[in-house]
Amino acid sequence: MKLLCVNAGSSSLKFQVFEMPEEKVLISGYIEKVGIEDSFWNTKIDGKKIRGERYLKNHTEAVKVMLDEILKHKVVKDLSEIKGVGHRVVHGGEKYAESVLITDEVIKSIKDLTKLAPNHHPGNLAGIEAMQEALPDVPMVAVYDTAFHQTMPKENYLYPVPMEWYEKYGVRKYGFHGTSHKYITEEMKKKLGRDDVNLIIAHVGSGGSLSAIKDGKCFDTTMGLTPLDGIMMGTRCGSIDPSIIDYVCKESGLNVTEVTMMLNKKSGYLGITGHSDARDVEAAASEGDENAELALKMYNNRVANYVAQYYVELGGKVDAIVLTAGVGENGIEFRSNLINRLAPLGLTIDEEENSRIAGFKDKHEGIISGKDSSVPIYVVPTDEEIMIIRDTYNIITNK
Amino acid sequence: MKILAVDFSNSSMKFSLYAENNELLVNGLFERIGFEGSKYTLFFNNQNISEEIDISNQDVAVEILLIKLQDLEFISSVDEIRAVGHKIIHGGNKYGDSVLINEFVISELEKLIDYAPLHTSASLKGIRAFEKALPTASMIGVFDTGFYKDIDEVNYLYPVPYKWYSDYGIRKYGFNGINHRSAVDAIKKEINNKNFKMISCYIDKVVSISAIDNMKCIDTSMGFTPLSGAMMATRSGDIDSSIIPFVMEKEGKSASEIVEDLNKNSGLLGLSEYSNSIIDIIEKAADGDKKCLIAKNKYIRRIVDYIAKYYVLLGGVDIISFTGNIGVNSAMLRKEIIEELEVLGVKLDLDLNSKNDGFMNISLETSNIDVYVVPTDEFLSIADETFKFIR
Repeated sequence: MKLLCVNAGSSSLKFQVFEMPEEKVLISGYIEKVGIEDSFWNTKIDGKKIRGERYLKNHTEAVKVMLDEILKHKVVKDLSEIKGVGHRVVHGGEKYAESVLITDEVIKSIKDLTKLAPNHHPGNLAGIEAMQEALPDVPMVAVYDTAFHQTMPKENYLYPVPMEWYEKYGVRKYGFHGTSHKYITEEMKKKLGRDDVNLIIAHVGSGGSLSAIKDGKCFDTTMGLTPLDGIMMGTRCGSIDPSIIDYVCKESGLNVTEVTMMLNKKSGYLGITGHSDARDVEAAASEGDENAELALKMYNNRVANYVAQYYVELGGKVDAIVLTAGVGENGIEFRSNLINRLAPLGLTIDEEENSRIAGFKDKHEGIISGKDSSVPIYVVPTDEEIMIIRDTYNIITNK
Repeated sequence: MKILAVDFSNSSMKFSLYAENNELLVNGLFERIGFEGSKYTLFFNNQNISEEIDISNQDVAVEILLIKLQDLEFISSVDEIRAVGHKIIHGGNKYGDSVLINEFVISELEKLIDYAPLHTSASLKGIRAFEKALPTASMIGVFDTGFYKDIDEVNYLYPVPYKWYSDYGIRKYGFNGINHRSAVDAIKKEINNKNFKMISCYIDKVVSISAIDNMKCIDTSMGFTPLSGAMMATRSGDIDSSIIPFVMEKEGKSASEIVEDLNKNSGLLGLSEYSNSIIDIIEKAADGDKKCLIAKNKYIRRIVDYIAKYYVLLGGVDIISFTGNIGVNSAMLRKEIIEELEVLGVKLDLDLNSKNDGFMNISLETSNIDVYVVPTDEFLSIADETFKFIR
């Protein structure tokens, strides 16, 4: 059975076609700068990469390009061979603790939750609507970034704010990157041979979040009502004194929406160094840029803070610490600095093994802790697409 | 020679009068200054005097205070008061150490009003009032942010546009510094050594936690304002900042109004919908009240979170101390906090913990970290600093 995975962002669209249940990727690709000049796409099939470019006005046109590529490369002879589509959706609120078949009601809820995921939901919706137009009879599934975190206990997901903000408006911690945290948890269950695993997962990329997994379920996570909270990120500030918003509004004359936008898009690494990509920050630091060096330390501290918190929150009963996503999978120096910073918890690193593992090296995963480390530390590449497709497959075949 | 230590806030003035050997002669409170129902209360020799009287502004409060001190013969004339130490909440980037206040200092403090509008403007009025009443006395400023002057930029900068720091002074300042410093000094005196790593927990209506290495504070939980950090009686502490614009739109309020809610209607009060006192909430939670249980657990969790991260930041810890009214008096709260820290090898002596008998080490000998109860006296610390300028 052939299934299509779609991850539509505000100006991008990533896709993969899988043969299920074999989990074989038949084609993958991404289309960028949708609705902006210079739209382009890259498709990967049988190890070959093919690039195309043409102005794409909107997601409907992007979907058309995607389907053309799928047909052109003979992944399917006819689009009717695609039996289901899995969509990444960022925010499921409290209602969706699991993936769900997309209905009008589901679409309405995604629209209603746009306020909580303003950077993502317009793109997610445009992707779903364009796909429904192109493949009107194919079942589609929404796979939510927040779903995995719905198992958090109330004391971890409530904020110490007026209770009626939760009861009336749904102000609570939702958590994001859930599909990735779930994938890593599933992988670790396999590796450790049991289901009741306790883990600290650090999904660190341009966005980033950590989660504490207790008995195989999410117990706590760093992102909150929105993906702004938690650790410092490429362009997001993470957790800061909330009074800053009001003060900056008064001093700068900007309004709250503008200041919040700056916290989302002009802060983090970018705010301190002028670079949003961790690789650029590291390069600048190695050339002696003091702010870049400062930003790396700030970042490292913030990740270490949460590892320390979760270590204690889990009572030290941690089966593994797992590093994943762009920086976690490839940031050899980041990993080394982080683990050295965590030495007071008895963590040690095998520097040699650490330096061997990265996406651009032969080895992509493994254990990087020293033999005497109090907790083993893993690098495991994440795969959100496979999680999306597994859920899609399960929902469609059980129907 | 005598000195006064004073703390002005929006509508109140607290004071303590000390003799030269740091002996407290009398202390008290002037309340509702500028409002109806204003009154003062003086405490001395196990008695107190209280009177409802019109106190229209800080000048009047100071005038009444000085008359009362003479009437009650704590001073024979106002000239006996050689100095007044003023608690000043916010020294901004400018002031860490205590300072002799002159016209230049006042003009600098005026520039810092925006950081703590209610407090700083009340302090400035208080300084003027005392200058007028005691023209020959020295005015000393003791800063609540001063203890944090050694924090490194890695820890005081926020990952926000750098321009916000350079243009608007957005950074972590830290608060309750006078209390934290006093706790550190007490520990130094006890163990006769400066070279220790300590996590100081100030738990009162407000809560702040500081990491101290070799007498210097390297990080603290409160930030640009006293809103952030741990959960408090009515303050939220750290939350997702996006909550502000989100709730603004839902309630049609301004950002300032939401920040006010985060300061006054959040924390223990917001979650429990019952009380702003952790003592009440622990009791009610034990009776099975669910909201109180959540509020209690969250409150403890937030304190434990800071201890965990400072444990790592400091590279291990020698001492955890509890100070502030609740930190010193609630054995139950201390027990629950330390239980959460078992994994770090901290062990409480439950008998000693329940004694509530002033300064003491309440950990077992087998504990990896010594746990101390450290009563502090903010006014005495202000007096100490003040005496340094006139001796």
